[in-house]
Amino acid sequence: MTGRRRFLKEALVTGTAAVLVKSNAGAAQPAVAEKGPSIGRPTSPLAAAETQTPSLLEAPATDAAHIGNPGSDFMVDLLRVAGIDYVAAMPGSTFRGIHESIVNYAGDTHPQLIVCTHEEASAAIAHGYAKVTGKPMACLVHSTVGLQHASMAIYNAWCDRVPMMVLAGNIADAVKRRPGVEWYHSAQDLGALVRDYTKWDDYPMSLQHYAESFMRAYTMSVTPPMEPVLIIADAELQEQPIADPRDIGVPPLREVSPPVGSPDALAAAASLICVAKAPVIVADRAVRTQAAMGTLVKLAESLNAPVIDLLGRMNFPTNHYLNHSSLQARHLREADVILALEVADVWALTASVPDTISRPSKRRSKGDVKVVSISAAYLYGKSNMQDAERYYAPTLPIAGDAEASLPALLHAVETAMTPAQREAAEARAQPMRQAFDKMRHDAREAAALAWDGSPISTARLSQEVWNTIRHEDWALVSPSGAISQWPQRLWDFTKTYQFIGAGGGYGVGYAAPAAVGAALAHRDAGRIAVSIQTDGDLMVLPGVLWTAAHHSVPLLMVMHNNRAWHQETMHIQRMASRRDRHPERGTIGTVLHDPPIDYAAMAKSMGMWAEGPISDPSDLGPALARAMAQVKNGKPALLDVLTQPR
Amino acid sequence: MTKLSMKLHFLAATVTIAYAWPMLSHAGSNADIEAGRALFMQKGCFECHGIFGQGSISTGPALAPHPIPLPAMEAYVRDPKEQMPVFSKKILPDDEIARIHAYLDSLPAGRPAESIRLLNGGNSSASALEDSSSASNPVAHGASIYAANCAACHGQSGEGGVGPALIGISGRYRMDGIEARIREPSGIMPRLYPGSLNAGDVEDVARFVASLK
Repeated sequence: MTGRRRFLKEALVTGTAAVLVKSNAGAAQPAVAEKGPSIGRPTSPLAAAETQTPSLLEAPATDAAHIGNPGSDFMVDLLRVAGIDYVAAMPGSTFRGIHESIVNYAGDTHPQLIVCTHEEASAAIAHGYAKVTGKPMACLVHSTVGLQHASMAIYNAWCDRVPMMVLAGNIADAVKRRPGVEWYHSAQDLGALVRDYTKWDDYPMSLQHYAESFMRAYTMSVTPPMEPVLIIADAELQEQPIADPRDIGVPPLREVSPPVGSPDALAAAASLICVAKAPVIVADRAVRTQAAMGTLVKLAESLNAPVIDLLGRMNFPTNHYLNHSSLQARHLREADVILALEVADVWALTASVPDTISRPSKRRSKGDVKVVSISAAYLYGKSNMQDAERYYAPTLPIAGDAEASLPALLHAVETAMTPAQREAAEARAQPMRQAFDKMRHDAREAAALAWDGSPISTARLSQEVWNTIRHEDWALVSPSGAISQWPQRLWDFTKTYQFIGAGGGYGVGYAAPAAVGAALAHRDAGRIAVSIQTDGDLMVLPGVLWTAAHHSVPLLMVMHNNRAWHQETMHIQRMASRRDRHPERGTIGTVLHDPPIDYAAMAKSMGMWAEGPISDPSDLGPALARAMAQVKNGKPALLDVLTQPR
Repeated sequence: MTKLSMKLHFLAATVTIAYAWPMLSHAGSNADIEAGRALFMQKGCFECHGIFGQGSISTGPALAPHPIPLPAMEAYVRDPKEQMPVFSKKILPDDEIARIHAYLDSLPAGRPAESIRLLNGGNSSASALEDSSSASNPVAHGASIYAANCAACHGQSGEGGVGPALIGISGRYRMDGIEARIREPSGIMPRLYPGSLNAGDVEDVARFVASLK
């Protein structure tokens, strides 16, 4: 009999098992009274212990040279309790205890390590994964050095309102640090490095403290506004034995119901929208689920209001006649009521600041436009990073998660609409259909320009990709701002998972690892993931190609290789023109073609199937078919395509 | 393939990319067109407008095919609206603008969108406008004339650009007033009638412009 089994038997006999795992410790709800254990059948708490935190049943080592029940096994149990399937990590000694527990105690499954070559990649992979699954991945980082590497990607996730569990190793007790490196790799207040852009952090001093803080952190991370959180896992706590498991109570996982706008506020919003002559709906980071997309469609149809999708998330079907995203300027100019759903920058719906010398604020909307803004951003914020955007006082600000508030808002609109308002809304249908048809027609006409040119136009690139994936269960896992948003203008997006949305803080280097994380999630859901990958972004963290190959992540990565950090090229050009000197020197320091970078060779060197560079547009379709064959076989593939700037 | 031949293959591909562009018509002298293309790249015009002047919804409008008239282009480059950076004569002399214009004017129209399978097979919502874009539908006919002749200055949807916005123009002018402005343009607006447009074309494009809301 193993030590653990012997311990279990003793626990059952002595009745200590119920004390061992106090599953409701600290919870508002009292534990359901057990009627007493029956012989041979474990009590509920004991079953929970067996299935959730068996580390608490591990026997201590029998000699001083070994540790039989390390604290990090319990930390891994908590990841399992939270349903965290993957832990992205580049190895680092301050979390060696958790690392070993994942691979040996958990058998590298649930959670499985996703091996990364940089901590920024770890966090960005977790970011992309969460955008698809809606739940956090953990990323494990190595104290001062690892957390600083990860910080950029954590900031992107913060700006993007994405949940993420960051676990960082550290050695608090100075006398336990070995001389030299371990001092450089320790901090007195490690969380301070990222406190400006994490929702919560803690440095637990005991395993009980760790369990409670872990659950608190997880809960806060997944409650809107969702954000990354940080738990410091002290190396001593990881590596020393679980001192007294009988004293540890595991708080249950209780997810917080999301904040919903108050009924009165939603009724007032409905009244404003229903009387509008030219209502416009703007959605940004609003929709997380297919159900919410369906509700938003019903809301728009009940009003026949055009929807502007700002694409922080995939909010609205692109082939719906009310998706007027490319007509944004016109609709905002004419609107009398704007309904803003989780819009990051509400001020920018009414005004803008052009990039001219004086940068004047210029109106985009009517001066008397009424704005209803529903957002969880009213519930939480921090001051140092300026992601709150410019202050704007809407006519009716409503604190609440837009997704959770949509059903009640739809009900309020359906209830409030008078027959005359219903008639007015119906009269808008035909003009909306005509405007939509023209918008799509204009997009096709614009896409035809330079169709056969080389370098390949981004429209041609997009349509060749669309032709390759459109009969699959597909998802685009890269932002589309650098390719003139062709996919949203030309493809039929009907599922919220089909687009990953924008990247949050616009920190370059996000797209490639986020695509790998998203593709991992899509692999588990049986879908094909495709990314249109910019070259400047890939050069930040090219090691993610190795991670994708190592873990057999089926991702079709198609390079938008415009041989530049093109946004910056345009900025330097603007400066040179404004200063009236040498615009022809604007590319110095912003281009990536001397020497040219062979992305296919780079990918191949890391074990990934790759072809390219492709410059003839007629070669693109066949090459995509070959790449897709690899992806459908469960492997990543990279196709390097030489493209137009935008 | 040896490492050396792989490298040569890669270099060949990148060299090809640097010199490949669509077939050119011969509106200007070949020397001017070639010089204009080089200037279009060197001065950074391509960065916002694309190497073939195709434009981008996020950086700058299409300049080709059918560029705006040279005087209008000169005027706009010297005193641009919105976010386009200004180019003075010091950094972009008139003769260089003329060569750039020759390059843009030389670019062919390319295939029409309706003939490109990848632009028609993938969209479930077939365009009613496209289906009805025959001369039997005056507004649709006017829309196609507008796209080819007017959109470069006035915007694809009449939102304005080099030329004034046309959205809501029917609230300011009657139909005959709009037609008159097309027949007898003022300022840098090119005269297209009689010539490119016949009387029926003017009526149709005026009807389309009046419909811009």
